[in-house]
Amino acid sequence: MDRERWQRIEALFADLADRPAGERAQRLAAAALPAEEARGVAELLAAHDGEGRLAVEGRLRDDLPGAFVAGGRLGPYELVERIAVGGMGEVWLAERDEAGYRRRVAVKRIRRGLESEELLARFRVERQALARLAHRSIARLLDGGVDAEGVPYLVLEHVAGRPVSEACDAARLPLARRLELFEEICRAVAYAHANLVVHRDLKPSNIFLTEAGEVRLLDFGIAKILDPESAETSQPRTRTRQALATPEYASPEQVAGGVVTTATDVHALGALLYELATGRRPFAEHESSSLALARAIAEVEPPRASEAAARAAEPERAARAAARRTTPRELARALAGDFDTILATALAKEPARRYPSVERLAEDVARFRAGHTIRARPDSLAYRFRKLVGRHRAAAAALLLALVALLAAGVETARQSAIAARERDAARRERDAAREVTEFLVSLFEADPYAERGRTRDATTLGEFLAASEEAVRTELTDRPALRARLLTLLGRLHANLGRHDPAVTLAGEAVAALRALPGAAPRDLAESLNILATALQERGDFDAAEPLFREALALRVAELGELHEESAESVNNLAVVLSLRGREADQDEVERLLRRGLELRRRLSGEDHLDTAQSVNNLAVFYYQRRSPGDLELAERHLREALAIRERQLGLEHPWIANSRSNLGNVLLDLGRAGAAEPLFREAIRVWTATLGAEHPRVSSGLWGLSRALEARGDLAGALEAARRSAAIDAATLADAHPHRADAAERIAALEASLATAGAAGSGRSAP
Amino acid sequence: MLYDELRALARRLMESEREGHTLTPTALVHEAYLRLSRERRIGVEDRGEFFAVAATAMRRILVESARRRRRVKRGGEAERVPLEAAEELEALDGWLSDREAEEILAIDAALDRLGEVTPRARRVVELRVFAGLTLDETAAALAVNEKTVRRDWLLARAWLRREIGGGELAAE
Repeated sequence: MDRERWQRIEALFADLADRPAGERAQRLAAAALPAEEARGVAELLAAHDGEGRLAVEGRLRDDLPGAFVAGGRLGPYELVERIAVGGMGEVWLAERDEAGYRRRVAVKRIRRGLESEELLARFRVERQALARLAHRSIARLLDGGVDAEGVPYLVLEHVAGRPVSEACDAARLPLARRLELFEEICRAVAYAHANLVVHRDLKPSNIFLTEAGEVRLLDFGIAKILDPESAETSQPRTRTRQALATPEYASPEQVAGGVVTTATDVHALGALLYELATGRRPFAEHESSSLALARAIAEVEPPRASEAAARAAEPERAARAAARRTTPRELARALAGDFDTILATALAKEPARRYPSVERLAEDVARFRAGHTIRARPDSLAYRFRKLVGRHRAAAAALLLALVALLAAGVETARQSAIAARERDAARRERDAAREVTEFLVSLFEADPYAERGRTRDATTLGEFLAASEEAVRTELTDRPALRARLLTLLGRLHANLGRHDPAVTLAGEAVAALRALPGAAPRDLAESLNILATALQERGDFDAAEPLFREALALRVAELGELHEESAESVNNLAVVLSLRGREADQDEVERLLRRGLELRRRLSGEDHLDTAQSVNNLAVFYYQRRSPGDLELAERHLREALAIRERQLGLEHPWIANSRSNLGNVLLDLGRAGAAEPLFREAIRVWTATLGAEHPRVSSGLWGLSRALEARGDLAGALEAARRSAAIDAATLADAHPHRADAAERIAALEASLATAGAAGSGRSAP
Repeated sequence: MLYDELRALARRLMESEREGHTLTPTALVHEAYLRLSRERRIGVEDRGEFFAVAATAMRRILVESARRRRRVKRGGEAERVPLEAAEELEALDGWLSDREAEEILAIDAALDRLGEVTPRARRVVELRVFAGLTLDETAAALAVNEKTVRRDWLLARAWLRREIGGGELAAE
């Protein structure tokens, strides 16, 4: 190609591409190019308009035309420069001519290629939310429309300023002034709440301080409009997780995918207040990954603001204090006590424990600033107990459920006796039963030497907690045999959850013996103890001992509760599992019958999308996996994916059961010859089990076993051997010598060592000249 | 060498691929970037440089993959790609539609002619078509402003459409 001719074509094309047809023709004629060049330009313009469009263009994420560019126009606005790009949209500074002056505005719209139903819906919500808000501290909606491509955009007041935390530091504002600004922010948020709008994404970058020193709330992009009729619960739960934009300032309910209310904004304001006061975000030390951060938000108490101010590393510590015109020591002193209580209340994990409204938070901040007594109270002892339990996540659900069940059982007993006794009497016994259990558990907490001060509380382990509990149960409750047996069963269950089967067997066995000897013991209690005992025996590999206990529990439950009951369905499932694990050919028909029956019961009791149903689906898959009739592996894969999908929907981020599903799926894929797909499933399962159950848990061993097989199948013998050894080490610590896994592991390690030796010899042979 | 790493990474990712998720060349390049930066083998400041090199490597991979398809379709001409690479390319057979594969070969052939008169437009096409970058990412990779990239892209796109679009390629 001739370079000069090409440059003329190129320049004219660039000039004409964005113009309407009439104007193009005029200008093309006016340019008076030689005919051949004019034809070249016309051809390029035709191609530009879409002629000969290529298939590969469909892969581009910002396919032109219509993408925003500097100098482009959108209705009456000329785009000047892009101010921000977010996950969903971009914001541009734009100008419009208005009676002789250029008015600056912010234009916001969805990024090209990202418009989905959900984003468009969210955009409508933002517009709707802003349309009902007219407040001097909230950036105003000026206009809106759709561009040539049909993508909607919003035109907003342009706020010249910077994020509030940054602006406060730059101006070296002292604490008192920061608190005043915070109260102003609270008033704007309270105004939005009064108009039924929840912001859901409050953070410094969405709250500007203008050059005139005024605050402005920006970006209602993931706001929610509350429905005054049916309250917050009318919103679908899933939306929360998708709408979670900024994990650093997210609330526990957003992380968990729970229901979002005005309390969510209270939490975000608490995080903002923390940062304004200390210069540090509440969960700063957990920000290495979004997963770690999400977990911290759900479970960890942030350091007190006073400690954060006092203990930060130098030179940050001094710099942060200097930005507040004070010293680290003075700042820590100012924040200790009432201010820590305000933050603890605003940042409470449970929405119901936070300030009931943004106004109340602002009031307490104002009282604190004025030196008056605040309204919020430090946590009660009972509440701190629940937090202690809450930190031990693997066992927490079981413990809390058991606690509720104990209370309910006490109430039930009292209610039954009320038939015979006076009502007043019954009410007293109900109260006594509830109080007795609560006080007992609270006393365990008080006896815990580490729990006194917040900072060392993580040194206490669940193991110590359980040992202390056990001793207390044995020494304190000798005169209440039924309650004692229930608590021993509960402790057995917690040990079993942690993979400690020996103490579980001892405790549950003791409970079974006590209940059998106790006249008038509830059959349901005995069934529960039998169930825990049998589960622990099964986990230890003692299937013959476990089987009759599971059968007895099943019979007791069916007789007491009927077959269509969750506990009966659980027993049907458990019996099937132990028979399946024992692996006798003669039992297999009964196993399949029980598993199908269990699945049917659970579908009827709980529906398709329920964790119990997922467990039954999973177990049926494991059965097919072991049976290996033609087509069984494919059937197993399908069932396992179904169980995994239910668990991912129901359990959220990471959970040992999701890991079970992955590991099982890994084994099936491995046997289907898909080792490459199996390996990451095992690794993920091991990671989650280690994080939730501990590195020494038997589940970790089974994951390592699978990983070892997968690596071997892929030819990584050294990796396979290492995984097998780690698996065997866990087995040695947790399983009886007679457990079949022990022999399997020894055999596998020997075989891998042999193969590796052979491969090594062959390898050195090959490399010889 | 980035070419080998990208190809091997593509194969690994295809194998571990989950249901309902298709690995695209764009996703591959971004995944490679994330991995290398996680392993601290490249820093943030190398981002532009990385994408520039990745685009060249991806051009080669896509062209070889498209050639392979054509050979397989036409019943096999002698294999010229080393065996290991051939296996990896085989894993990528599902990447491109037939029409896209033909377009990739045509763009590859035409691109150097475009580069003779306007070298920067050629780079823009490589970064966008082969590495899947957006306009702003392309601007960052080439260290020029976005307006310039848009202008180059509009021109190159119209030129490529005129050179190879429509014509002998039947619509799907």
